[in-house]
Amino acid sequence: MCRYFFSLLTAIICFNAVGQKKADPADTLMYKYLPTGLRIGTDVLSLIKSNADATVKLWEVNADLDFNRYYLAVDYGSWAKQMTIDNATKNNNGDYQNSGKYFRVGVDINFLLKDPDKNMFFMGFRLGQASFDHALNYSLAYTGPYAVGPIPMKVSASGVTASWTEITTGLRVKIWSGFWMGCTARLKFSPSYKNSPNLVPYDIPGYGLFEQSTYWGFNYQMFWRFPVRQLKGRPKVISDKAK
Amino acid sequence: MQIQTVAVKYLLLILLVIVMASCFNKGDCVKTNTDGVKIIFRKKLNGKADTVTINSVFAVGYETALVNTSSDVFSTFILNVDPNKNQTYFIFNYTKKDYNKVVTGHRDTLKLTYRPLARVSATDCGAFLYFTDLNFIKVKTGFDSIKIVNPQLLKDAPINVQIFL
Repeated sequence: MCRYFFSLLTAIICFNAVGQKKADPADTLMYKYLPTGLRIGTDVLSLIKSNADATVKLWEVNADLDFNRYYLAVDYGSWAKQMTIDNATKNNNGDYQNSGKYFRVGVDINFLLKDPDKNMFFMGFRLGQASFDHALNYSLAYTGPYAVGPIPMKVSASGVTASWTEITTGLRVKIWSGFWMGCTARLKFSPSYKNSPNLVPYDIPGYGLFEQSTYWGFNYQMFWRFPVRQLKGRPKVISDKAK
Repeated sequence: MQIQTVAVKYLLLILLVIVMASCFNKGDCVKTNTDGVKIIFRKKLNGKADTVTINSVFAVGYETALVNTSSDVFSTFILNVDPNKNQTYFIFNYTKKDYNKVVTGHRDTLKLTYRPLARVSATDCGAFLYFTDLNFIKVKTGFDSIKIVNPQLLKDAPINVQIFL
């Protein structure tokens, strides 16, 4: 049954493709929303942070594909941090570390539609998801019946998943030929996690501090754009008179 | 075009409100956790607070009594759970007057389970251990019934466990 369905689908697609040779005015709408280029880049700030701070290892790859004024945006990154917990009282101190990958998927809306170079000022949203391991080693200040003095505690969890939502805004500017630069400000909110029954994540890869129900993020990005279709005017409709 | 301008204005307004909200969302070092389970004895007939004289309460595996007073009369008291484990087994030695006003001695058990949950609210606050998902394991006991009314151990929380006698 499935085979017949795909055969029928293929036949319909082929039929439509043949039909497009005759420039039908209705097809211009579809043409308008065909992507013109794939832009792939990386976050420069993550690379700088990784080089400047030995306790942080970050990288992030960004990509977007245009559909007229709408851009399908995908981010994928790696995030590892080691943090010292020090409250100056020497009680309940230790260290927290995490390591994992994350991705974000969303849509940006370009508000500079008439720009000939397709420079962007955009607003959009992302849905983010992370998968990571984390561990907390600390000394529990304890004065109770079960121990004398501080108790060394080790808690960890593997395969933790977290998700969140973002509102984004930023710029993409064509610098030279296919080279672009841009920045993205992210307002992240609604973080949640699973699979960590004994440790609340302090820091979620791709999100940041879990205790902050809303959190800011900023990327400064370099892109290379790979054109997939020449950006031209809409195909002319051949009138009957011209024929 | 006008609709788009209005939409952008609203989006910027919403963004501004969320930004301002996030500015005031600075974490603090408020510590609300505790390892103490608040327990109340209640009469099974009417649910009112019951008073018993607790001679001692021991946690299995530890020789030192958590409560060791033969003269005090309790209806509510606090027992500490073991932070190294996810369950603590308490043995109660207590006396109470029965319906004939006759004082009798009892030895009953309460097995509590819980989930230790470590949490760092900020690196300059420290790490703290919370206890949540408090529950009990049914064992053969002289208590009529046990009810968990608050499964999270917090300083400001009311009673966690009701024991009906």
